[in-house]
Amino acid sequence: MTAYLLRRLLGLIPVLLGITLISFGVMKLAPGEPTDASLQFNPKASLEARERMERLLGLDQPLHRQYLRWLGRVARLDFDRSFRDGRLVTDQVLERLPVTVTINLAALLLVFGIAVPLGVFAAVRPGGVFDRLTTVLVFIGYSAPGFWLALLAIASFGVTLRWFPVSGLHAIDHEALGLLRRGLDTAWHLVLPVGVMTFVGLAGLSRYARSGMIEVLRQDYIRTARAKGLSERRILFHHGLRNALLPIITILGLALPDLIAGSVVMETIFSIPGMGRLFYDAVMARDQNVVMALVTVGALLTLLGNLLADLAYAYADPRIRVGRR
Amino acid sequence: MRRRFVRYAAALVAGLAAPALLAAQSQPVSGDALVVSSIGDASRLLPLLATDSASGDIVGLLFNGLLKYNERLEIVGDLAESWTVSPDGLTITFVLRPNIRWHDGAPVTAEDVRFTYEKLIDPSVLTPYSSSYQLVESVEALDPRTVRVRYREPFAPALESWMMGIIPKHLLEREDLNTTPFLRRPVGMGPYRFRRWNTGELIELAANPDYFEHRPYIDRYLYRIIPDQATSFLELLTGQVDLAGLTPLQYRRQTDTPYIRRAYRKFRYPSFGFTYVGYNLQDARFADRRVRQAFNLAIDKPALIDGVLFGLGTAASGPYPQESWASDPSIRPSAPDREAARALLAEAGWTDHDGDGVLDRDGRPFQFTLITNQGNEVRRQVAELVQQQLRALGVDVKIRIIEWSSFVHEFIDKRRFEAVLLGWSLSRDPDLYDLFHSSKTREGEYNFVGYANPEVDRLLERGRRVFEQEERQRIYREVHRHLAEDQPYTFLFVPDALPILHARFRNVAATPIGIAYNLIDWHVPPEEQRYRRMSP
Amino acid sequence: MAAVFRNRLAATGAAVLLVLAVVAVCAPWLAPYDPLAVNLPDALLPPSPAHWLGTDPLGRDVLSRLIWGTRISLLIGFIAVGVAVVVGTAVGLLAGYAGGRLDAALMRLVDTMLAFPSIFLLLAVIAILEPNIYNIMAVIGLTSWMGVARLVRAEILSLKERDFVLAARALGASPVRLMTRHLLPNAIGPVLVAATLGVGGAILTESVLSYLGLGVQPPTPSWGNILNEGRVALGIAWWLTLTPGLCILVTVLAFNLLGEGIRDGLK
Repeated sequence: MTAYLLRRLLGLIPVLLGITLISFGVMKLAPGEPTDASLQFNPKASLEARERMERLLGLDQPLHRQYLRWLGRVARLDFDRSFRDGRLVTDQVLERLPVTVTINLAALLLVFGIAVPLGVFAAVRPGGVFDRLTTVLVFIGYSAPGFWLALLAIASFGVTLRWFPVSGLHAIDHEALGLLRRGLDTAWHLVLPVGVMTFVGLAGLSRYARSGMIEVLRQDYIRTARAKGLSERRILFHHGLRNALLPIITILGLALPDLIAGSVVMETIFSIPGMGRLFYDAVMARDQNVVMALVTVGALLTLLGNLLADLAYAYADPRIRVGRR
Repeated sequence: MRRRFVRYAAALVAGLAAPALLAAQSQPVSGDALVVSSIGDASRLLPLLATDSASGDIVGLLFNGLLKYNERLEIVGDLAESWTVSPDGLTITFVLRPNIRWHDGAPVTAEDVRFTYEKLIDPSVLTPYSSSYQLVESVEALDPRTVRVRYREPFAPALESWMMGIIPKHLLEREDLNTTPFLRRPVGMGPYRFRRWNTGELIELAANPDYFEHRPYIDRYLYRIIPDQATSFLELLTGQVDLAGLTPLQYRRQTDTPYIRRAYRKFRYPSFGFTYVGYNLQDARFADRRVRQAFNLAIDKPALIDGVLFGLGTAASGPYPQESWASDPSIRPSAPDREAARALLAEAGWTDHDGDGVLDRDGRPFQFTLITNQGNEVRRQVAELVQQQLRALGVDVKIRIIEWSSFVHEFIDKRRFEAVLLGWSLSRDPDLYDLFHSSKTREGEYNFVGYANPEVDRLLERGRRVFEQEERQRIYREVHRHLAEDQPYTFLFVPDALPILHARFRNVAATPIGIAYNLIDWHVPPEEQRYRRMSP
Repeated sequence: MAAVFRNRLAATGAAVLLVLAVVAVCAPWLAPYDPLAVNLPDALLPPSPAHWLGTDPLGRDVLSRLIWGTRISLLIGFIAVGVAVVVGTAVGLLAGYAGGRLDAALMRLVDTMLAFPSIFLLLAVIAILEPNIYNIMAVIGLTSWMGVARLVRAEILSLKERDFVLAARALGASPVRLMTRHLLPNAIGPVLVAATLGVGGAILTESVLSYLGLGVQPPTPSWGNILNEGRVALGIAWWLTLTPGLCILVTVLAFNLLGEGIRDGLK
């Protein structure tokens, strides 16, 4: 097992290097420099001023040297500074991380809490009214553009009904509120974004839970349990679900890049200052240190997620412990 | 020299007196907050490094320069109580107001001004503004309130360059300006003090009780970052935003609801900039002035303004808005005249010989590509209308829309274009050296159309060397005449700025410089105040 | 019962898609107006007998734009998926058949591509290229082939050891013949499912790109950019936002239901 783990971990290195190389290449191939935003078409910024800034930022160096310099820093966990505001990239990321993680985690928990029971009950009677209804419902969330659902939610619940704030994370007077009221204020602001993200995310998981459950319910030990006269609830959630959950673990590891993509759009619409927004702004401003850091860390987390899922899978199912790959 | 000083001082007094009079009429009470929405976040809150509009907005409230423009676009003193320009134009002496203090209580002195200058020309500071100070020979602090700036040669735009915000020496002396924590919690001397900055979400400023003019009446200034235009408008519909910029479409069609009519006020004034079609003058077809003149006659500017800006703009005859003293009032925007345009083109050899509806010369049809940048809806629509109008003249125009970065690097900088649709937003000084002087044609410089007229070169050089207003006016009006005659650009229109502001704010007026010039005098009657007072 | 139901949902999906295909092909005859004709005095009209779905901020007929948009959006969906299927199948086939070093290298490539947030590649590549429809099709395709590659490889690995393949190899079939005649046809089922689901995904991706301003460029109508153009007028002209979104929703839903149906049918 240790040898396997070591081999897998070593296998991550070329993938990670490949990712940094590709993203560095893409950033450099893309026309434009990080200095553009401040200097392009600003008649007060002379050509000399621009060249001076590029020199100061090290952008006049040959590409391979820029890449190696970056790699050397990253090896020491230093992602350098953002070209846009001169702050350490690490600071920027740490500042934005909590919001995005909170929202995604909240959405993920809700998805789990809703999708798994939906899938399980749908599996009890595949093709029944409940199954049909939920199938169409979850597929609607999956098939609609997320930003469209978000806009409709804002327009109806935010503007017409005024139940929830249109956007943002805090009320203007948030700071003056007591601790409890502050928490409620933030939660109130999060209802729409988390709600929309949950609705969009239901389909994948509930379908997995459903098909996994259908599979499991056909197994002999379920029949045995039924024969023993156990309650249907106990059969479903104790015997059935435990085994049906297995494949679900694996899709979580792969969900990360999708979450980042989803965050870009949701955070823009709801004016939430999170990682997705940071990433989008950085790509558009060619702020290459920020982009590289986010892509590298995102990729690393994805790869570790995959690895973890594989390990969990192997641990739970001895049949695949050896000889996979 | 004496006479000049008296005139400047008079302007200064007039500038101060006007808001005071207005304020007296309505008994302002302090309190409440102004919530402003912005598409983007600020990046560095230091005048020297502020390049994006968000940073500029905030820095403008935290820091003052030595001079400023008043609402009639005249240069008046800001931190400077008075200033004198020596007769040879080589020395400017500023005298600071007494008793100006930084937000931390330290006095603002001439040393701070000298420090600001030193940082502006320091090659290790990431400022794009250094070029305005290249001609400075020395900056001396004669005493705590007096600064003397010497120039190597006379440089008229210098006065505008001293509108740059002054930064505190005692806080920044030992800091690396590019990375100092000061950039995120700045200390200035302006009407508002910095309170907090939640990245990507909100910047909050609080009224400065010790501001040298008087404490602003509005207690708090809240700058909300709302990146999505649709969301921003929905926030307005629910009254969560007090001040925002509207698009022409929103101004004309979407703000006509009973709620907005009741709760908000819309303003309209010409912005300082213009939209134009620029031609690559290296291209033999466009090198012929008659072709450019013909296009100017063929393009129906009022139709563009009606169609794209919903009438919210003014047709342009040159680079200056009509309100500018540099604009020659005798030059009117040309009335569309297709027949005259056709005649000019025929003179230049372009007629429809083969009868296919497209003009041709030497067997080659008149066809070119007009490029513009992606992401600007107005420009895209203008391009389409220009295409239609030139089509009616018999010129076949293709449109290509290109992402901003590659637009600049691959097409403009490398001169790989035939015609380009763009806009300039300019400072108030009429100097156009960077845009039209024949020396500014290197890659990355702004005379990318390649305009070269020795007479205009001479005028632009001279215009930078004289301070005398009448003389400058004569010079720049002549520049205006040359440009209108040569048509290196087809100057299309000056769009209007369209702010919308919650109606509870009083003492607000649209002026050529905008509505925010007297922000410190805005106030809200106590019964209409919305946001509670916060302890500082 | 279950089977009937499954097929009924799938059949509904197929029927919807058929109608859409007809709309796409017959767009020039179905659209009541020119989708590009700007008519500013008629901007932002609500739905009426003259304009069933109202007009947009430039006074263009929304229904006509949606009808033409069907063409563009479906085209993007199909061609992007075509690209993904071709690349994915080639990579999967090669990796599965060759095995060894090549397999390992190709699978590392797949891992690498999967670990990227696809939005990064999309944004960056579209920033390099111009966002015209061909580039958008290519880019969506080239960032979504990895799933197909994994599917095909897995199929090939299990097929490779089956008797009929071993027999064919023993009889001296060339590798190319083996791949095209014996392996591929048997791997086609799962690829078909992935492709059907993929078309819906590609249409959604285009709409997100349009939202970020990097999709099909106006005035060419795609559902994504009609939605995006209408969005700015959401406060007063809801029909501009509602209808294109519904078109996307119904279409993608149809593809998903059909895909699920095919998958169940294969079992």
